[in-house]
Amino acid sequence: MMDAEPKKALKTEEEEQVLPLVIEIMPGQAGEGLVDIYQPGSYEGKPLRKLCQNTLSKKNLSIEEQLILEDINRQLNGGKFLSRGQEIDSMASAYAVLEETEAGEKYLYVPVRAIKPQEGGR
Amino acid sequence: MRRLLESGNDFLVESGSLYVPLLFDPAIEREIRTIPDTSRPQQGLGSLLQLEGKHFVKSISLPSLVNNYENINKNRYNQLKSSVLQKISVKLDGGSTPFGWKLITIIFQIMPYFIKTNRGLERKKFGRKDVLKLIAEKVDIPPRDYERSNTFFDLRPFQEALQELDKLDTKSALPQDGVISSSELNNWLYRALEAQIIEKERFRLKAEVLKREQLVEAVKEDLDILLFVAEKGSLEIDDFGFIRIGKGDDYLIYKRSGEYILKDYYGRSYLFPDCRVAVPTFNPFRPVVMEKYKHPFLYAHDSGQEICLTGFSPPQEFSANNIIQVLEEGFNALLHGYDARRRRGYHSLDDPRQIVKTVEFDDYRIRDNSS
Repeated sequence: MMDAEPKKALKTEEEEQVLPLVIEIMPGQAGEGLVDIYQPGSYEGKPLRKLCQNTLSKKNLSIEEQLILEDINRQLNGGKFLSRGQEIDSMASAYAVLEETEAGEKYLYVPVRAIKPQEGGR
Repeated sequence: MRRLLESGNDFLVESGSLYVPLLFDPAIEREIRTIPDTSRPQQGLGSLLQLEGKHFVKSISLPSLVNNYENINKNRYNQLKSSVLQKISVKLDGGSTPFGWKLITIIFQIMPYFIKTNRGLERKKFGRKDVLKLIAEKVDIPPRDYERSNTFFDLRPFQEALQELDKLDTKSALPQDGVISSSELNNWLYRALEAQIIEKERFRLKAEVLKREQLVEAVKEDLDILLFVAEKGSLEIDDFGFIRIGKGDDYLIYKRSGEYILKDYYGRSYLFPDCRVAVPTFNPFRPVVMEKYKHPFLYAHDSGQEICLTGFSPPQEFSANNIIQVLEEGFNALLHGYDARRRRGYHSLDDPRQIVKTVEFDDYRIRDNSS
Protein backbone atom coordinates (compact mmCIF):
# COMPACT_ATOMS: atom_id res chain seq x y z
CA MET A 1 0.00 0.00 0.00
CA MET A 2 1.15 3.49 -0.71
CA ASP A 3 1.62 5.00 2.73
CA ALA A 4 -0.51 7.95 3.61
CA GLU A 5 1.61 8.81 6.64
CA PRO A 6 5.39 8.82 6.72
CA LYS A 7 6.86 6.03 8.74
CA LYS A 8 9.51 6.80 11.23
CA ALA A 9 11.56 3.70 11.41
CA LEU A 10 14.38 5.06 13.47
CA LYS A 11 14.98 2.96 16.47
CA THR A 12 16.98 5.37 18.54
CA GLU A 13 18.39 8.81 18.48
CA GLU A 14 21.79 7.15 18.45
CA GLU A 15 21.17 5.51 15.05
CA GLU A 16 20.17 8.83 13.59
CA GLN A 17 23.48 10.30 14.61
CA VAL A 18 25.76 7.68 13.19
CA LEU A 19 24.09 6.35 10.06
CA PRO A 20 24.48 7.72 6.55
CA LEU A 21 21.34 8.89 4.81
CA VAL A 22 20.64 7.66 1.29
CA ILE A 23 18.21 9.72 -0.74
CA GLU A 24 16.92 8.34 -4.01
CA ILE A 25 14.96 10.70 -6.24
CA MET A 26 12.94 8.80 -8.83
CA PRO A 27 11.22 10.36 -11.83
CA GLY A 28 7.52 9.44 -11.97
CA GLN A 29 6.97 5.71 -11.52
CA ALA A 30 10.54 4.72 -12.37
CA GLY A 31 11.98 1.86 -10.38
CA GLU A 32 15.27 3.58 -9.82
CA GLY A 33 16.49 7.13 -9.56
CA LEU A 34 19.26 9.48 -8.68
CA VAL A 35 21.02 8.39 -5.50
CA ASP A 36 22.86 10.65 -3.09
CA ILE A 37 24.53 9.76 0.17
CA TYR A 38 24.70 12.18 3.09
CA GLN A 39 27.22 11.26 5.72
CA PRO A 40 26.29 11.52 9.42
CA GLY A 41 26.48 15.10 10.52
CA SER A 42 25.61 16.52 7.12
CA TYR A 43 21.85 16.04 7.01
CA GLU A 44 20.50 16.20 10.55
CA GLY A 45 17.97 18.97 11.10
CA LYS A 46 17.70 19.72 7.41
CA PRO A 47 14.40 19.57 5.55
CA LEU A 48 14.17 16.80 3.00
CA ARG A 49 13.26 19.30 0.30
CA LYS A 50 16.53 21.15 0.84
CA LEU A 51 18.53 17.92 0.58
CA CYS A 52 16.70 16.99 -2.64
CA GLN A 53 17.51 20.37 -4.14
CA ASN A 54 21.18 19.87 -3.19
CA THR A 55 21.16 16.48 -4.89
CA LEU A 56 19.61 17.82 -8.06
CA SER A 57 22.10 20.67 -8.27
CA LYS A 58 25.10 18.36 -8.35
CA LYS A 59 27.34 18.81 -11.37
CA ASN A 60 29.52 15.69 -11.51
CA LEU A 61 26.88 13.31 -12.88
CA SER A 62 27.47 10.37 -15.17
CA ILE A 63 25.61 10.18 -18.50
CA GLU A 64 23.08 7.74 -17.03
CA GLU A 65 22.52 10.04 -14.06
CA GLN A 66 22.10 13.02 -16.37
CA LEU A 67 19.35 11.16 -18.23
CA ILE A 68 17.58 10.43 -14.96
CA LEU A 69 18.01 14.08 -13.94
CA GLU A 70 16.38 15.17 -17.20
CA ASP A 71 13.42 12.87 -16.46
CA ILE A 72 13.17 14.26 -12.92
CA ASN A 73 13.25 17.86 -14.15
CA ARG A 74 10.59 17.05 -16.73
CA GLN A 75 8.33 15.76 -13.96
CA LEU A 76 9.14 18.70 -11.70
CA ASN A 77 8.08 21.15 -14.39
CA GLY A 78 4.65 21.67 -12.83
CA GLY A 79 5.16 18.72 -10.52
CA LYS A 80 6.24 18.09 -6.95
CA PHE A 81 8.30 15.87 -4.67
CA LEU A 82 6.46 13.08 -2.88
CA SER A 83 7.80 10.66 -0.33
CA ARG A 84 5.62 7.87 0.97
CA GLY A 85 2.57 9.51 -0.58
CA GLN A 86 3.13 12.90 1.04
CA GLU A 87 4.76 16.15 0.10
CA ILE A 88 8.18 16.54 1.67
CA ASP A 89 7.79 19.37 4.14
CA SER A 90 9.45 17.73 7.17
CA MET A 91 12.99 16.81 8.16
CA ALA A 92 14.62 14.07 6.13
CA SER A 93 14.70 11.67 9.08
CA ALA A 94 10.89 11.74 9.26
CA TYR A 95 10.69 9.82 5.98
CA ALA A 96 13.64 7.49 6.52
CA VAL A 97 13.58 3.76 7.02
CA LEU A 98 16.44 1.64 8.20
CA GLU A 99 18.01 -0.56 5.54
CA GLU A 100 21.08 -2.70 5.31
CA THR A 101 23.51 -3.48 2.51
CA GLU A 102 24.45 -7.05 1.62
CA ALA A 103 27.63 -6.49 3.60
CA GLY A 104 25.57 -5.63 6.66
CA GLU A 105 26.16 -1.88 6.66
CA LYS A 106 23.16 -0.02 8.02
CA TYR A 107 21.88 3.18 6.48
CA LEU A 108 18.78 5.32 6.40
CA TYR A 109 16.88 5.28 3.13
CA VAL A 110 14.49 7.92 1.85
CA PRO A 111 12.72 7.30 -1.47
CA VAL A 112 11.45 10.47 -3.11
CA ARG A 113 9.39 10.64 -6.27
CA ALA A 114 9.25 13.59 -8.63
CA ILE A 115 5.66 13.51 -9.84
CA LYS A 116 3.88 15.72 -12.29
CA PRO A 117 0.23 15.16 -11.47
CA GLN A 118 -1.64 14.52 -14.68
CA GLU A 119 -4.88 16.34 -14.31
CA GLY A 120 -7.73 14.03 -15.01
CA GLY A 121 -11.34 14.60 -15.77
CA ARG A 122 -13.26 16.60 -18.26
CA MET B 1 -14.64 1.51 -61.88
CA ARG B 2 -16.30 -1.87 -62.15
CA ARG B 3 -19.03 -0.43 -64.38
CA LEU B 4 -16.38 1.07 -66.61
CA LEU B 5 -14.54 -2.23 -66.97
CA GLU B 6 -17.73 -4.17 -67.67
CA SER B 7 -19.34 -1.55 -69.91
CA GLY B 8 -18.61 -3.24 -73.25
CA ASN B 9 -17.43 0.12 -74.61
CA ASP B 10 -14.25 0.86 -76.50
CA PHE B 11 -11.74 3.25 -75.02
CA LEU B 12 -8.67 4.96 -76.24
CA VAL B 13 -5.20 4.68 -74.68
CA GLU B 14 -2.75 7.48 -75.25
CA SER B 15 0.59 7.80 -73.40
CA GLY B 16 -0.52 5.75 -70.43
CA SER B 17 -3.81 7.61 -70.01
CA LEU B 18 -7.25 6.17 -70.57
CA TYR B 19 -9.64 8.22 -72.70
CA VAL B 20 -13.33 7.39 -72.35
CA PRO B 21 -16.04 8.08 -74.97
CA LEU B 22 -17.40 11.58 -74.64
CA LEU B 23 -21.12 11.97 -74.23
CA PHE B 24 -22.38 14.06 -77.05
CA ASP B 25 -25.04 16.72 -76.81
CA PRO B 26 -25.38 20.22 -78.32
CA ALA B 27 -23.75 21.91 -75.35
CA ILE B 28 -20.72 19.66 -75.52
CA GLU B 29 -20.53 20.07 -79.27
CA ARG B 30 -20.40 23.87 -78.85
CA GLU B 31 -17.65 23.48 -76.27
CA ILE B 32 -15.63 21.19 -78.50
CA ARG B 33 -15.74 23.67 -81.34
CA THR B 34 -13.91 26.21 -79.19
CA ILE B 35 -11.01 23.78 -78.77
CA PRO B 36 -8.41 23.73 -81.54
CA ASP B 37 -7.84 20.65 -83.71
CA THR B 38 -8.62 17.41 -81.85
CA SER B 39 -8.70 15.24 -84.94
CA ARG B 40 -5.15 13.97 -84.60
CA PRO B 41 -4.75 11.51 -81.73
CA GLN B 42 -0.99 11.37 -82.32
CA GLN B 43 -0.63 14.81 -80.81
CA GLY B 44 -2.34 13.54 -77.71
CA LEU B 45 -1.50 16.38 -75.37
CA GLY B 46 -4.96 17.76 -74.67
CA SER B 47 -7.85 16.34 -72.74
CA LEU B 48 -9.88 15.58 -75.85
CA LEU B 49 -9.07 13.25 -78.73
CA GLN B 50 -11.00 12.42 -81.84
CA LEU B 51 -10.75 9.10 -83.62
CA GLU B 52 -12.92 7.98 -86.49
CA GLY B 53 -15.38 10.73 -85.75
CA LYS B 54 -15.75 9.83 -82.09
CA HIS B 55 -14.61 12.08 -79.31
CA PHE B 56 -12.78 10.75 -76.26
CA VAL B 57 -12.05 12.61 -73.05
CA LYS B 58 -9.03 12.00 -70.84
CA SER B 59 -10.00 10.22 -67.61
CA ILE B 60 -7.43 8.34 -65.57
CA SER B 61 -3.77 7.47 -65.65
CA LEU B 62 -3.38 3.70 -66.00
CA PRO B 63 -0.23 3.37 -63.79
CA SER B 64 -2.06 5.38 -61.13
CA LEU B 65 -5.08 3.06 -61.44
CA VAL B 66 -2.85 0.05 -60.76
CA ASN B 67 -1.03 1.73 -57.88
CA ASN B 68 -4.25 2.75 -56.15
CA TYR B 69 -6.50 -0.15 -57.00
CA GLU B 70 -6.18 -1.60 -53.50
CA ASN B 71 -7.95 1.49 -52.18
CA ILE B 72 -10.41 1.76 -55.08
CA ASN B 73 -11.78 -1.78 -54.80
CA LYS B 74 -10.41 -3.46 -51.71
CA ASN B 75 -12.55 -6.58 -51.97
CA ARG B 76 -11.58 -7.38 -55.53
CA TYR B 77 -7.95 -6.61 -54.81
CA ASN B 78 -7.93 -8.97 -51.80
CA GLN B 79 -9.61 -11.74 -53.82
CA LEU B 80 -7.01 -11.33 -56.50
CA LYS B 81 -4.22 -11.26 -53.94
CA SER B 82 -5.29 -14.52 -52.31
CA SER B 83 -5.62 -16.24 -55.69
CA VAL B 84 -2.16 -15.03 -56.71
CA LEU B 85 -0.56 -16.08 -53.41
CA GLN B 86 -2.14 -19.53 -53.67
CA LYS B 87 0.32 -20.13 -56.48
CA ILE B 88 3.06 -20.30 -53.87
CA SER B 89 3.02 -23.82 -52.51
CA VAL B 90 5.19 -23.03 -49.45
CA LYS B 91 3.10 -22.40 -46.37
CA LEU B 92 4.29 -19.57 -44.18
CA ASP B 93 2.80 -19.83 -40.72
CA GLY B 94 5.13 -17.22 -39.22
CA GLY B 95 6.54 -19.57 -36.62
CA SER B 96 4.75 -21.23 -33.73
CA THR B 97 5.65 -18.49 -31.27
CA PRO B 98 4.78 -14.86 -31.85
CA PHE B 99 8.12 -13.31 -31.19
CA GLY B 100 8.92 -9.85 -32.37
CA TRP B 101 10.49 -6.50 -31.72
CA LYS B 102 7.68 -5.30 -29.49
CA LEU B 103 8.37 -8.08 -27.02
CA ILE B 104 12.10 -7.33 -27.14
CA THR B 105 11.38 -3.63 -26.57
CA ILE B 106 9.14 -4.41 -23.59
CA ILE B 107 11.64 -6.74 -21.96
CA PHE B 108 14.84 -4.79 -22.51
CA GLN B 109 13.69 -1.17 -22.60
CA ILE B 110 10.36 -0.69 -20.84
CA MET B 111 10.56 -3.22 -18.01
CA PRO B 112 13.95 -2.02 -16.66
CA TYR B 113 12.53 1.47 -16.23
CA PHE B 114 9.85 0.33 -13.78
CA ILE B 115 11.78 -2.30 -11.83
CA LYS B 116 13.94 -1.70 -8.82
CA THR B 117 16.92 -3.99 -8.75
CA ASN B 118 19.53 -2.17 -6.72
CA ARG B 119 19.64 -1.86 -3.01
CA GLY B 120 22.29 -0.44 -0.79
CA LEU B 121 24.59 2.48 -1.29
CA GLU B 122 25.76 1.67 -4.80
CA ARG B 123 23.84 1.56 -8.04
CA LYS B 124 24.83 -0.87 -10.75
CA LYS B 125 23.74 -0.60 -14.34
CA PHE B 126 20.70 -2.76 -15.12
CA GLY B 127 21.85 -4.27 -18.37
CA ARG B 128 20.59 -6.92 -20.74
CA LYS B 129 22.15 -9.80 -18.82
CA ASP B 130 20.68 -8.50 -15.56
CA VAL B 131 17.19 -8.38 -17.09
CA LEU B 132 17.47 -11.99 -18.24
CA LYS B 133 18.89 -13.07 -14.92
CA LEU B 134 16.00 -11.39 -13.14
CA ILE B 135 13.44 -13.14 -15.36
CA ALA B 136 15.17 -16.47 -14.79
CA GLU B 137 15.06 -15.88 -11.03
CA LYS B 138 11.42 -14.84 -10.94
CA VAL B 139 9.96 -17.26 -13.48
CA ASP B 140 10.23 -21.00 -13.33
CA ILE B 141 11.48 -21.90 -16.79
CA PRO B 142 11.08 -25.59 -17.55
CA PRO B 143 14.00 -27.30 -19.30
CA ARG B 144 13.28 -27.39 -23.00
CA ASP B 145 15.24 -26.78 -26.10
CA TYR B 146 13.22 -23.91 -27.51
CA GLU B 147 15.80 -23.00 -30.07
CA ARG B 148 15.49 -26.25 -31.93
CA SER B 149 11.76 -26.74 -31.56
CA ASN B 150 10.75 -23.24 -32.54
CA THR B 151 9.99 -22.56 -36.18
CA PHE B 152 10.29 -18.80 -35.86
CA PHE B 153 13.98 -18.96 -36.62
CA ASP B 154 13.69 -21.33 -39.55
CA LEU B 155 14.00 -19.07 -42.56
CA ARG B 156 13.95 -21.81 -45.19
CA PRO B 157 10.19 -21.56 -45.92
CA PHE B 158 10.64 -17.86 -46.64
CA GLN B 159 13.57 -18.50 -48.93
CA GLU B 160 11.64 -21.21 -50.79
CA ALA B 161 8.66 -18.90 -51.17
CA LEU B 162 10.92 -16.20 -52.56
CA GLN B 163 12.32 -18.66 -55.10
CA GLU B 164 8.79 -19.55 -56.22
CA LEU B 165 7.88 -15.89 -56.53
CA ASP B 166 10.95 -15.30 -58.68
CA LYS B 167 9.62 -17.86 -61.16
CA LEU B 168 6.36 -15.96 -61.62
CA ASP B 169 6.04 -13.46 -64.41
CA THR B 170 5.94 -9.88 -63.22
CA LYS B 171 6.34 -8.12 -66.54
CA SER B 172 3.51 -5.77 -67.22
CA ALA B 173 3.81 -3.10 -69.90
CA LEU B 174 1.25 -0.40 -70.47
CA PRO B 175 -1.27 -1.11 -73.27
CA GLN B 176 -0.28 0.17 -76.67
CA ASP B 177 -1.70 3.51 -77.76
CA GLY B 178 -4.94 3.14 -79.65
CA VAL B 179 -8.38 1.64 -79.19
CA ILE B 180 -8.86 -0.88 -76.39
CA SER B 181 -12.06 -2.75 -75.55
CA SER B 182 -13.36 -2.99 -71.99
CA SER B 183 -12.52 -6.71 -71.84
CA GLU B 184 -8.97 -6.06 -73.07
CA LEU B 185 -8.64 -3.30 -70.48
CA ASN B 186 -9.94 -5.66 -67.81
CA ASN B 187 -7.40 -8.33 -68.77
CA TRP B 188 -4.58 -5.84 -68.82
CA LEU B 189 -5.58 -4.54 -65.37
CA TYR B 190 -5.70 -8.08 -63.98
CA ARG B 191 -2.16 -8.86 -65.24
CA ALA B 192 -0.83 -5.53 -63.98
CA LEU B 193 -2.32 -6.09 -60.54
CA GLU B 194 -1.02 -9.65 -60.46
CA ALA B 195 2.49 -8.40 -61.23
CA GLN B 196 2.17 -5.72 -58.58
CA ILE B 197 0.98 -8.20 -55.93
CA ILE B 198 3.89 -10.55 -56.68
CA GLU B 199 6.34 -7.67 -56.48
CA LYS B 200 4.85 -6.48 -53.16
CA GLU B 201 4.90 -9.99 -51.70
CA ARG B 202 8.51 -10.43 -52.75
CA PHE B 203 9.40 -7.17 -51.04
CA ARG B 204 7.45 -8.15 -47.92
CA LEU B 205 9.11 -11.56 -47.66
CA LYS B 206 12.59 -10.10 -48.12
CA ALA B 207 11.86 -7.55 -45.37
CA GLU B 208 10.52 -10.34 -43.11
CA VAL B 209 13.62 -12.47 -43.67
CA LEU B 210 15.85 -9.49 -42.89
CA LYS B 211 13.82 -8.65 -39.78
CA ARG B 212 14.03 -12.19 -38.46
CA GLU B 213 17.74 -12.44 -39.22
CA GLN B 214 18.33 -9.24 -37.25
CA LEU B 215 16.13 -10.48 -34.42
CA VAL B 216 17.93 -13.80 -34.23
CA GLU B 217 21.24 -11.96 -34.19
CA ALA B 218 20.03 -9.68 -31.40
CA VAL B 219 18.77 -12.40 -29.08
CA LYS B 220 20.67 -15.55 -30.02
CA GLU B 221 22.43 -15.86 -26.67
CA ASP B 222 19.24 -15.47 -24.67
CA LEU B 223 16.90 -17.55 -26.75
CA ASP B 224 15.64 -20.03 -24.21
CA ILE B 225 14.40 -17.42 -21.74
CA LEU B 226 12.96 -15.13 -24.38
CA LEU B 227 11.19 -17.91 -26.23
CA PHE B 228 9.70 -19.14 -23.01
CA VAL B 229 8.32 -15.67 -22.30
CA ALA B 230 7.12 -15.34 -25.90
CA GLU B 231 5.35 -18.67 -25.78
CA LYS B 232 3.80 -17.94 -22.40
CA GLY B 233 2.67 -14.51 -23.62
CA SER B 234 2.74 -12.86 -20.22
CA LEU B 235 5.11 -11.94 -17.45
CA GLU B 236 4.85 -10.02 -14.19
CA ILE B 237 7.78 -8.95 -12.08
CA ASP B 238 7.58 -6.55 -9.16
CA ASP B 239 4.24 -5.00 -10.12
CA PHE B 240 5.24 -4.55 -13.75
CA GLY B 241 3.91 -6.92 -16.37
CA PHE B 242 2.53 -7.52 -19.81
CA ILE B 243 0.03 -9.84 -21.39
CA ARG B 244 -0.35 -10.76 -25.05
CA ILE B 245 -3.43 -9.68 -26.97
CA GLY B 246 -4.39 -12.00 -29.80
CA LYS B 247 -1.86 -14.20 -31.55
CA GLY B 248 0.63 -11.65 -32.81
CA ASP B 249 3.30 -9.43 -31.31
CA ASP B 250 0.89 -7.13 -29.47
CA TYR B 251 0.56 -6.72 -25.73
CA LEU B 252 -1.07 -4.85 -22.90
CA ILE B 253 1.75 -3.47 -20.78
CA TYR B 254 0.77 -2.69 -17.22
CA LYS B 255 1.94 -1.59 -13.82
CA ARG B 256 0.11 -2.25 -10.60
CA SER B 257 -0.91 0.75 -8.55
CA GLY B 258 -1.00 -0.95 -5.16
CA GLU B 259 -3.52 0.43 -2.68
CA TYR B 260 -3.60 4.21 -2.44
CA ILE B 261 -5.51 6.93 -0.68
CA LEU B 262 -7.37 9.92 -2.13
CA LYS B 263 -8.89 12.66 -0.02
CA ASP B 264 -12.15 14.49 -0.53
CA TYR B 265 -13.01 18.14 -0.02
CA TYR B 266 -13.38 17.64 3.73
CA GLY B 267 -10.06 15.83 4.09
CA ARG B 268 -11.67 12.43 4.51
CA SER B 269 -9.62 9.54 3.18
CA TYR B 270 -10.74 6.93 0.65
CA LEU B 271 -8.75 3.75 0.22
CA PHE B 272 -8.62 2.59 -3.39
CA PRO B 273 -7.76 -1.03 -4.16
CA ASP B 274 -4.88 -2.17 -6.33
CA CYS B 275 -5.41 -2.06 -10.07
CA ARG B 276 -3.38 -2.50 -13.24
CA VAL B 277 -2.89 0.64 -15.29
CA ALA B 278 -2.15 -0.52 -18.81
CA VAL B 279 -1.36 0.71 -22.29
CA PRO B 280 -1.63 -1.35 -25.49
CA THR B 281 1.24 -1.68 -27.96
CA PHE B 282 -0.98 -0.43 -30.77
CA ASN B 283 -2.98 2.67 -31.52
CA PRO B 284 -4.72 4.31 -29.67
CA PHE B 285 -1.99 4.57 -27.07
CA ARG B 286 -4.21 5.57 -24.15
CA PRO B 287 -4.02 4.39 -20.54
CA VAL B 288 -6.73 2.03 -19.34
CA VAL B 289 -7.51 0.21 -16.09
CA MET B 290 -7.64 -3.53 -16.64
CA GLU B 291 -9.74 -4.53 -13.65
CA LYS B 292 -13.37 -3.81 -12.93
CA TYR B 293 -12.68 -0.57 -11.17
CA LYS B 294 -14.18 2.74 -10.12
CA HIS B 295 -12.48 6.09 -9.81
CA PRO B 296 -13.49 9.72 -10.39
CA PHE B 297 -11.67 9.59 -13.75
CA LEU B 298 -13.41 6.43 -14.96
CA TYR B 299 -16.86 6.67 -16.51
CA ALA B 300 -18.42 3.60 -14.94
CA HIS B 301 -17.64 0.75 -12.56
CA ASP B 302 -16.33 -1.60 -15.19
CA SER B 303 -13.21 -3.24 -16.61
CA GLY B 304 -11.00 -2.02 -19.44
CA GLN B 305 -11.98 1.63 -19.05
CA GLU B 306 -9.90 4.45 -20.47
CA ILE B 307 -8.65 6.95 -17.89
CA CYS B 308 -10.03 10.40 -18.56
CA LEU B 309 -7.11 12.82 -18.89
CA THR B 310 -7.11 16.56 -19.47
CA GLY B 311 -5.02 17.86 -22.35
CA PHE B 312 -3.48 14.50 -23.13
CA SER B 313 -2.27 13.90 -26.68
CA PRO B 314 -1.56 10.20 -27.16
CA PRO B 315 1.56 9.30 -29.14
CA GLN B 316 1.08 7.88 -32.60
CA GLU B 317 3.65 5.11 -32.64
CA PHE B 318 5.02 2.33 -30.48
CA SER B 319 8.31 3.06 -28.76
CA ALA B 320 9.68 2.43 -25.27
CA ASN B 321 9.62 6.12 -24.38
CA ASN B 322 6.05 6.58 -25.60
CA ILE B 323 4.76 3.59 -23.65
CA ILE B 324 6.56 4.70 -20.47
CA GLN B 325 5.14 8.20 -20.89
CA VAL B 326 1.55 6.98 -21.36
CA LEU B 327 1.78 4.63 -18.36
CA GLU B 328 3.17 7.49 -16.26
CA GLU B 329 0.34 9.79 -17.35
CA GLY B 330 -2.31 7.23 -16.45
CA PHE B 331 -0.68 6.44 -13.16
CA ASN B 332 -0.15 10.05 -12.19
CA ALA B 333 -3.77 10.86 -12.99
CA LEU B 334 -5.18 7.99 -10.96
CA LEU B 335 -2.96 8.41 -7.91
CA HIS B 336 -2.17 12.12 -7.90
CA GLY B 337 -4.52 13.87 -10.32
CA TYR B 338 -7.73 14.13 -8.31
CA ASP B 339 -8.32 17.66 -7.07
CA ALA B 340 -10.58 17.53 -4.03
CA ARG B 341 -11.53 21.21 -4.37
CA ARG B 342 -12.25 21.36 -8.09
CA ARG B 343 -13.73 17.85 -8.20
CA ARG B 344 -13.03 17.42 -11.89
CA GLY B 345 -13.74 14.08 -13.49
CA TYR B 346 -16.78 11.99 -14.27
CA HIS B 347 -17.51 11.65 -10.57
CA SER B 348 -16.43 13.23 -7.33
CA LEU B 349 -15.70 11.51 -4.06
CA ASP B 350 -18.13 13.65 -2.09
CA ASP B 351 -19.98 16.17 -4.28
CA PRO B 352 -23.21 17.04 -2.45
CA ARG B 353 -24.62 18.70 -5.60
CA GLN B 354 -24.82 15.40 -7.44
CA ILE B 355 -28.39 14.24 -6.97
CA VAL B 356 -28.13 11.02 -8.95
CA LYS B 357 -24.84 9.28 -8.38
CA THR B 358 -23.96 6.58 -10.88
CA VAL B 359 -20.79 5.63 -9.03
CA GLU B 360 -20.44 5.82 -5.24
CA PHE B 361 -17.19 5.84 -3.30
CA ASP B 362 -18.62 5.60 0.19
CA ASP B 363 -17.51 1.99 0.54
CA TYR B 364 -13.90 3.10 0.04
CA ARG B 365 -14.05 5.68 2.81
CA ILE B 366 -11.80 5.05 5.77
CA ARG B 367 -13.93 5.58 8.84
CA ASP B 368 -12.53 6.69 12.12
CA ASN B 369 -13.70 4.08 14.64
CA SER B 370 -13.35 6.50 17.54
CA SER B 371 -16.07 8.83 16.22
